[in-house]
Amino acid sequence: MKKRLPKDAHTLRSFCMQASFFIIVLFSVNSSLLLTGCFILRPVTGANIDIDQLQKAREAKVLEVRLTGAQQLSERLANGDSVSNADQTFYFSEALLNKASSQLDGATGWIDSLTSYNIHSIRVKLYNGSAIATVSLSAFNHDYDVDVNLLMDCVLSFKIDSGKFYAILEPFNVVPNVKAGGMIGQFDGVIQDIVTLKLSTLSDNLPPIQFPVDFNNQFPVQANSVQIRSGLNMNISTPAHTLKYSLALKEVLIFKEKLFLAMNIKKVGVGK
Amino acid sequence: MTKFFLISAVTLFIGCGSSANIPSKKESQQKIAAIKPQLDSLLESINQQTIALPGGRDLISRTRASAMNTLLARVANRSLADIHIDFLATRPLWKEEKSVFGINYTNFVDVDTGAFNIDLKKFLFTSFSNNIINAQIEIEGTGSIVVSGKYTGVTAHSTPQVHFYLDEEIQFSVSTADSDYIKLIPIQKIVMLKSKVTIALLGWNIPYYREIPLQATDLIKPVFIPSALRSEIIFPLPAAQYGSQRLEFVKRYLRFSRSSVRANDNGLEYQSNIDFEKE
Repeated sequence: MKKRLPKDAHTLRSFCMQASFFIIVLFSVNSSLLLTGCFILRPVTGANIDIDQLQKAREAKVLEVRLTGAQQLSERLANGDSVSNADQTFYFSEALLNKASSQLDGATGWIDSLTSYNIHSIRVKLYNGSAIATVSLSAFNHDYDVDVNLLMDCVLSFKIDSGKFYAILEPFNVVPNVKAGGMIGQFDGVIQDIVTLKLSTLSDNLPPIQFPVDFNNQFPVQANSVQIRSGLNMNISTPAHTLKYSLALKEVLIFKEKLFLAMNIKKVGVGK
Repeated sequence: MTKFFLISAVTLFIGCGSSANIPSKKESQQKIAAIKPQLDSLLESINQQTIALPGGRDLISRTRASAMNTLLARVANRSLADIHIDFLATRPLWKEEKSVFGINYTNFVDVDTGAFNIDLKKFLFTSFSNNIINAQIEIEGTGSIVVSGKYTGVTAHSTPQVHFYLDEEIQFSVSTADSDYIKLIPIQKIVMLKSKVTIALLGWNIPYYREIPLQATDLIKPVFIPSALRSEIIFPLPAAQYGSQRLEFVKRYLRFSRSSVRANDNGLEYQSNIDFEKE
């Protein structure tokens, strides 16, 4: 009988680690991978996939998203309600979105306790009907020493929560480029899959992009007093008070190079 | 065993819908060729419809005149005291010299004290042009004061009613610094507060009516309206350390530049460029 060597024990431990990682991922995969409309493009070693093929697939998917958005915008513009028909309207430039999103450049976060990521850049492009962000990041699995450079095309959706305005990243193209190191290098094709799947939950962990606006507004009206010493001697005073109002979102429209928000006054109040 | 896991995994991954296969280059090209003409046609139509939309700044906000009047109406209709008047001693408010059979005497009325609130009945913007906003302001109220005096040598007290009324057009100039506020500054103008006191003292009826000139800039202070922008925000970032908190928050300051505001028929338009600055 062959005697077991320490090297075998090490290999067995590694295998067990890989297997357990595998199993965990397999059970979490179905929900995480099947992101609505998510389309993961995987450059798999030895699978005869060239860069050109990836780029064309990505371009086709982006065009598909843009077409859907443009169709919806066209229908909206045809419905007869002028876009300016709102109490307050806001136009945000594409440049402002990029200034806001670039606040995340260089930020490090975690997908789970073993997988961190670093955002290289987020660049937003506004088309008629759609906002698409290209997120460049790298993820690192600390247990397996696997480093993944990732390019994600994301649709931006917008929401207002407690008066704050956010853009949420929803990936629809994910293009990873895996660099596996150490002993795992031999399984690189499979590891690519694992890491890719793991990364498909990334969108749940990415922070929203916050806009520098607040739609819960209030402004003080200053106290005032006037002294009258002509005829009737009297002091006229007005107390300080605060006018408070909130705005409700009517609609968000995306135009080429600008994002449009229409808001109506929801609540008005006066307080001391 | 390893192979079993690998094969199982690969099989499962391949079964994971759209994620598993990349379309061939030809398939993608066909898709692009089918989408592009439709998209181009739609974009041309949209571009024509949206050519007049404003641009050129990071933020452009437009506030309808009717929206501002909704806010002002709320101020005018509030139940709190709008304007408070404290009467100080006025000696005399009215007097007349009399002489009967060579005896000279003075009838007079003094205001001793009094205080009441009057109501801001109306405050609305009526027109916007060339960065000037015209506004209509109406104030009205009635209350009592305490007066005392002498009539034909007899001392008496009374609590007559005082009525105030003001209905004037005033103007505001609109401006902005490179900030998150729009300033509405009242323009100097004399407005008249009409006051009427009907005093009856020992059968002596004194009709007192006077228009009190007030400077509009004394009556109304500048108003600073927020543009919805904030000069600082708490920005969410991913938490750099793994833990229960997925996000951490950092403060970012905003620097405004090329800010301008315009008042025209449609209301107020504010424009500004914005840059983020770290702490």
